Amino acid sequence: MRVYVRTTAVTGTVGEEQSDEDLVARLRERDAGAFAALYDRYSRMAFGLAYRMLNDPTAAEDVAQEAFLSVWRQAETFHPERSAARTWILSIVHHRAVDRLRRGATTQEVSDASLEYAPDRVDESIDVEHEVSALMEANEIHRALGLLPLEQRRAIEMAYFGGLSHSEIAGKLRIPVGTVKGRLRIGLQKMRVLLDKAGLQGAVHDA
Amino acid sequence: MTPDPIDEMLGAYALDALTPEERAIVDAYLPTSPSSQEEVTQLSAVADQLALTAIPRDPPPALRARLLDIVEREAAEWRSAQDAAHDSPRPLTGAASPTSPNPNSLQKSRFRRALGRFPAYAYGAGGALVAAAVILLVVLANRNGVTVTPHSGSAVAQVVDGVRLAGVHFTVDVRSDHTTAVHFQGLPDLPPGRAYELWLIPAHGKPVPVGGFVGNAGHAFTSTYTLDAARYAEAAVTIERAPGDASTPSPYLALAAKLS
Repeated sequence: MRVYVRTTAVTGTVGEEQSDEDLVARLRERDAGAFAALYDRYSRMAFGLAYRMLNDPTAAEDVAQEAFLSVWRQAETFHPERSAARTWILSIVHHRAVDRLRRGATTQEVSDASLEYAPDRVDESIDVEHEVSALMEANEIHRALGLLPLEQRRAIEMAYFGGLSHSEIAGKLRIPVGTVKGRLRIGLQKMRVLLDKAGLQGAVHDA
Repeated sequence: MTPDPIDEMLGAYALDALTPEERAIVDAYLPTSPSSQEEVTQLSAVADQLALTAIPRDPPPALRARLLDIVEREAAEWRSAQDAAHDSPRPLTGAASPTSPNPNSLQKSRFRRALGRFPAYAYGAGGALVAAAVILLVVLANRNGVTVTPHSGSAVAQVVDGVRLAGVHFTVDVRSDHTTAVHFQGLPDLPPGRAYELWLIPAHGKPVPVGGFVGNAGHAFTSTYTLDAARYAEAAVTIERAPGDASTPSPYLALAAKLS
């Protein structure tokens, strides 16, 4: 009697490396294996972003679940000519988290993103190409953010991670709304220049 | 000349920090100003990159299992709807082309649909015989103080990888002594270099390969494994290539049984 064991799994894996865009395209054919691959690639980033915004593991898990189900169910809304798949996925997470913040389901004390971001705290045993690539980019983004004047950086962080509107930021900082608008715009413009200088082409898409 | 108040809102627009009313104003304005549109594109790209500055964290492991369960169920439903729409079943043999639906999803879909077609009358007298044999096994097992919970299985498809499976029946006996016995009847001979392989599939997580086998001269196979199949939701059998054979095995399930 021949008896042998296959080590590969029947479901839930993708046997060969595929681009994010290919995997998203496969979602349109309701390919659960492609979904599993995307999840394995970006769930840590997605959960980390949700956690960063909500400061609540349960809420972050809810948001990550909602976001990945949106990725699964609305793959048709992804346009590779507009953004990278990673950007698309994380933007869904961001929007979901902002929705939750604005519904008041979670209250967050906005913290300094420069304190939150700490590459050396990332588990080095995680040998995930996509995550390492993202961390390298994150390093440049963090550096650019850190080069902004404190008031601009603070306004950007409150808007992006805190989900606050410009008027809410103005209220919290006790400054005119127009000042907040200016800080957000000028801060992002400066970051764009800094990221361009750093050669971070992924930061800006072709129009 | 661009109205300054609206351009001043472009940073907040890119960061989604406008009220819905203000956002609507900017949305209406952008098509009229290519330069502002360009700026929004660039600022939005920068804003999107901020997501990367959050520390990646491990989500709870249960999240993956929960999502995959939902996704696989919806994929199965989608495939059923697709099949119904086309009113013609897909061929169950042959390699999937690069543009074909993922066989993993397909086989799971077919597996679930096949399980739904498992009523006892499906195989007529053969099914009745199997049921009787199962009852007998329960009685005999209880005599020895070991409780046996039998689960019957059958062919998922008529033909898989060129092998006709319509007459195959099997039982998976989940035993209270934490062993599992399997009994196959009517196993077709396989082409050279191929073997059946038994899998146990948990409700959440990856299938576990149990072992490969081929039928004996009587087209039967019986074995007992020192594992507890009660922890699994389903048992399945695939037709695999022997070690050293480089060809791709059929991605489709051959036989299946529900265990819970």
